[in-house]
Formats: sequence, C-alpha cells, structure tokens
Amino acid sequence: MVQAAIAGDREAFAGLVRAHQARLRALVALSLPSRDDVHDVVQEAFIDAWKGLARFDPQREFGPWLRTICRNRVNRFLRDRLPTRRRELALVDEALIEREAASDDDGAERKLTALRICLDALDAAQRRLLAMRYHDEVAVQEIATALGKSPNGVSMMLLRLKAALMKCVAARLGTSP
Amino acid sequence: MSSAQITPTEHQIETYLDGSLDAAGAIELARLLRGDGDDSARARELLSFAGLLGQALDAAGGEDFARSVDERLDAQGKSSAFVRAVERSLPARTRPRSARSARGSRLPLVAAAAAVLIAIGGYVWFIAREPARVASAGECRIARAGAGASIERPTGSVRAVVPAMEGSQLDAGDRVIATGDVLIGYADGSQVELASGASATVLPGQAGKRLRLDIGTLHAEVAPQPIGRPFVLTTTNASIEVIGTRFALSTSLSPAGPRTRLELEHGDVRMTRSSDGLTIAVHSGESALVANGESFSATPISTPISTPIRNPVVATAAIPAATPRTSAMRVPASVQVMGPWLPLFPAAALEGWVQQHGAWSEDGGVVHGVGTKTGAARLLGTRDLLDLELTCRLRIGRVEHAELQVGTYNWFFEIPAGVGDWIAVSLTQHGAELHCTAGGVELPRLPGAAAAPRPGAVAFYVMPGGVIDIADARIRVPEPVPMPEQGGQ
Repeated sequence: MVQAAIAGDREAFAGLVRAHQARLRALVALSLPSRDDVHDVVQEAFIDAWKGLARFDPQREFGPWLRTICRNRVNRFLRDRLPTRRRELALVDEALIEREAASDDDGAERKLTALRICLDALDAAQRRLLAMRYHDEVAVQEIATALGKSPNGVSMMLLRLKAALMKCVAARLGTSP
Repeated sequence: MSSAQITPTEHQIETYLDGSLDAAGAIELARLLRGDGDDSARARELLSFAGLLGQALDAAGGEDFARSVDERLDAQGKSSAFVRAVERSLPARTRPRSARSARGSRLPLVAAAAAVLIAIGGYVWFIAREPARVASAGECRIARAGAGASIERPTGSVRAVVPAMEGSQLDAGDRVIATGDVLIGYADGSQVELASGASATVLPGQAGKRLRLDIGTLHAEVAPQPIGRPFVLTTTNASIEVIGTRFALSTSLSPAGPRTRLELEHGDVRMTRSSDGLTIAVHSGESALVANGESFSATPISTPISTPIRNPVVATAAIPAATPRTSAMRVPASVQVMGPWLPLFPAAALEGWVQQHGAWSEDGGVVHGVGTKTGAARLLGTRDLLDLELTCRLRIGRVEHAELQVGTYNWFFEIPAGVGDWIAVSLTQHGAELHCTAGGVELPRLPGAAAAPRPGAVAFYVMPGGVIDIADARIRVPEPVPMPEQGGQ
C-alpha cells in the first residue's frame, strides 16, 4: 500500500489514512484537548505525508515516519497560534510545546480504545454531559445553565465521571489509575 | 482517583479548556506541565485525558477521516488556481451582487462563481476597512449593530464589555450580545445576522470558521467554504457543518432542555445531535430540530423561523416580546407606580433570605458572603418579583466577577470585580424589560433558565473562592394601583 501511494495512488494513500488515523488522533489528543484541533492537525499531517512521500524510504516503517510528521505538526500548530492567544493561555501552550518535544505515544491508541469501551458502560445522560464538555467544548457555566444545575454541581459530576472512567481504563489496561 | 473534591489542578485545566484561565493559574499549570514530580504527571494525565475523551466521544471513523484528507488534498490542488482565476476576472470591488453571475466549474462543491465573487468582494471590503490587517479565513467583524448591542471580550483575566460598533473586529472568545439585531461579516463575504435577544460566541477556528449560538436566533448566508474546512455553527445540543448556504438557526432553553432548530433555504448542511453524535443531511427547503423527546430528521419547512437575512428580522429568541400577566404583582406598565425605596436586608441575621451556598453574615448593614475554595456562595431571596428596582454597592474579591440574578436565575448579570473598590449597581426589571448597570456601565443580560419573564427571586452569587460585600442595598416594587372603573381613563 505504501509503495502504491508513493507511486501516486490516492486510493492507496486513503487506505493508509484509514489504517493510521486512529493512532495519530490518539497521539495528538495527548497534547491538544480540543477535538477540532486534533482533527485539523492530523489531517494536515497526512497532507504533509502525501507531499513528502517521495522522500520516504520504503525500507523503513511507515508508522514512525508518520508520527514524526504528526509531532512536527502539533508543534507548529501550537507555535503558530501563540501570537493570537491570551497571555495566560500562551503560557500553558509554551509548556505544552516543551512537553510535546519529549512526548511519546506509548499506549495512546490502546488507552483510547479502552476509553471507548468504558464510555459504553455509561448511561445516555452521563455520555451527553461528557460530550457537551469534551466533544462540543461547551463551558461548564453554560452546561450548568442548560441543565439547570449549578456550575459547581456540573464540575463535580464531570469530576466523578472522569475518575470512574480513568479507573475503568486503568483496569482494562492493567495499570494503576 | 477517588477524591470528591475538585483540586486546584483540575480547576486550572478546566478553565484552560474554557479559555478563561487566570494568570496565577496559568503560571502554576505551566509549571506543572513542565515538571517531573507526581503532581506534574497527574496534570499531564488529566489534560491528556480531556483530549482522549474528545476523540473517544467522536463519531467520526476512519472512512470519514480519509474522506476529509482526500477533500483537503483536492482543495489544495484545485482551489488556489480557481481563486486566482476569479481574482483576475474581478473588475471592481464595488461590483454589485447581481453582477456576480459568472459560473465556475472546477471546485466540485462550489456551484457558482457568484459565491466566490461574494467572497472576494468581502475580502476587499475587509482590506479596505483596515489595510494593515491581512484577513484570515475566520476573521470577522461587526458589519451592523443595533442600539445597545455589546461585545463581551476576554481582556487579561477579566471579561470587558464594550459597545458593538460597525467595524469592530471579533476575535476568538468574544461574545456578541444582540440587544438590537447585529450583523457579523466575515472576510470571505459570509454573513451571520443575530436577531435581537440572541448572543453568539466566536470560537477558535484553525480548521475553519466557528461560531457558537448561545441563545436566540440567527440567519446566515455562508459563502462557499474551502473543502474540508466547513463553517461550523454549534449550540448547546447540536452542531452544523456548512459548506456554503443560506439558513436560519434558533436555539432556546425549555423546561425539557435545550432546543435547536435549523431551517435551510439553499444548499446542504450536515447537522449533528450532540447527545449521541447522530448526523443527518439537511437539504434546501428542509428543517431539523434537536430537542429532548423529538425525532431528529429533516422535514420540509412548514413554519419559517423568521424572515431571511437583510430583511427586518422577527426575533424568535427565548424572551417573548409580550409579557404575560403572571402575578398579582404585575400591573400594566402604563399605570404602574413604584412604591418607596426600602432596605433589601431589613432584618437582622439575613432573615427572609436563603443562604443557599457559602457563608453569609451581616454586620452594620453590610452583608458579607464567602465562597469556599471549591464552592460558590449564593444568597437567595424568598420573594417572587417580576417588577423591581434595586440599587446597592458591591465589593467583590478574589474572583473576576459576581452575579446578580433575577427571576430565580432566569437571567443574570456579571458584575466585574474591579480592583477591590466598591461598585455601584443598579437593576431594573419591568416584565421583559431588564437592565443592570455597574459603575454606570450597562451590563449584558445573560441567560440562566432564559424562560419567558416570570416572577422569581433575586440572588447574589459569587464564584468558588470569592468574597462579596453588599452595602446600601435598597429595593422598590410596584404598589397596588386602584384600577379605574370600567370606561374610565
């Protein structure tokens, strides 16, 4: 498939995207909490890969090469947005950039798979609450307003759900939470 | 992790996700993310987990992702050449819209070059207004604002409220509050009109334009968007991806939960229900509703939300224009007479008030409220009012703002903390007419339950860790007015 993609076969490249996207999304999600940011960065990484396929040595593994491109994209994304960020947020982004240089994807995809299984065990209301917060990125205050609860109450619900999920993921992976 | 307490690190991460992290929190979180200890590992784990949750809850699979990448590759290869060709053919920036009829054929999803000309025209308009700026894909400005419209803007660690003026640039995090209707224009010619009573927040949009309709109704006319970078509009319970089309979107809060309705005049969009990630295609002439207990499907439009963009807007925001007569306290405004000013806290020990959260005390006429490190403080009145006038002085500490809530959290106002000084606050509510000033500055009305005007209690609320002092608090309410005999004036 890699050879065909190098030869310019877009369908073969689409197959590579399908095969590697989950792992890359999990990897990038370790550094970027926004779902849309993750999508954007991973898509850009695949585009970089397509453009750089001519330089890829087919004797080497494709995955690590792709992950290196992806890490570079994360780094560039964080740096590019620094000038437009509030000073406080930029401070954290700078720390993320430093951390990104030392990060690895040890088990990120496995963790994501385990998390999906653990999420399936939640009821619809719990999933909806988590989706509002971490998928749609709605602020706690706004969720509280929408649900007719106090912001602190919403924060506590999210805290408990995340704690339970982290415990569940750890149990599935055989690690400590 | 079994603790039921929100730790400072967790709080910092959540406020970072919201974009509202303060300076002290940012310094501490950055230190943690760089560090090597257990607490640093914990901070990184929590932040990573938020990102993984976003992906785990995402319904997009490998096939969707491969298609998006493919579309972006297509767009990069084709759109630049096409746009250059259109730019060459653009005769003048003043070219009327009706002349934008030359057809292009190279972009699969751009049916008419007219739309691209609108985009170029919009770009020229933006550049002409502020030559030093280079318009980015998500750049937007206030193109028209009704009287009283405002922008709530994150400024340092506080949110400033500034008047919405024609030409005001909008950045990520800015919330536009449309007291009158407001037109937002994008560099590519896309336009979003907020109906009076609506509010919307500009979201960061590296992957395309993003706008969240907080409440109320908007009408949009979206120029063709780059493939793979749709204009994404979100509400509390739904999101829609727009390639280029014309539609109306309305969101409100009902007792059964949030309701979002989409009406599509032209084009095709994808609408996603947030609760389960279900996505449907909505086509020209169809509408779709996301609400608890309602089926989620596209159906032919029966009752339009309101008139289209650029025509007079009939608002369908959550506040009806007409005020129901819901209480004996409510009398017609034309014959309403307000009673005398009375102390808001007439009795010792805050009798007549519910100390719902936090610790409250009264000393020498000054009421003092304290939130715990992880809990807010709320002092709730016990009298349901629909018409009232209230004045007080507030001193808020340790947090950015406190809230003055009315109608039992039907609506509220954020009172800025200032720098430890007292700030004069004045609130008036006469049915649907609701205004509040702090330090003489009109504050935007923010939605709590955002139901129709209803009798409810006043409350003072301060965020976790905050303190508030309330002094010189007075209130007056309508006096019963003898109604004229039948046939009288």
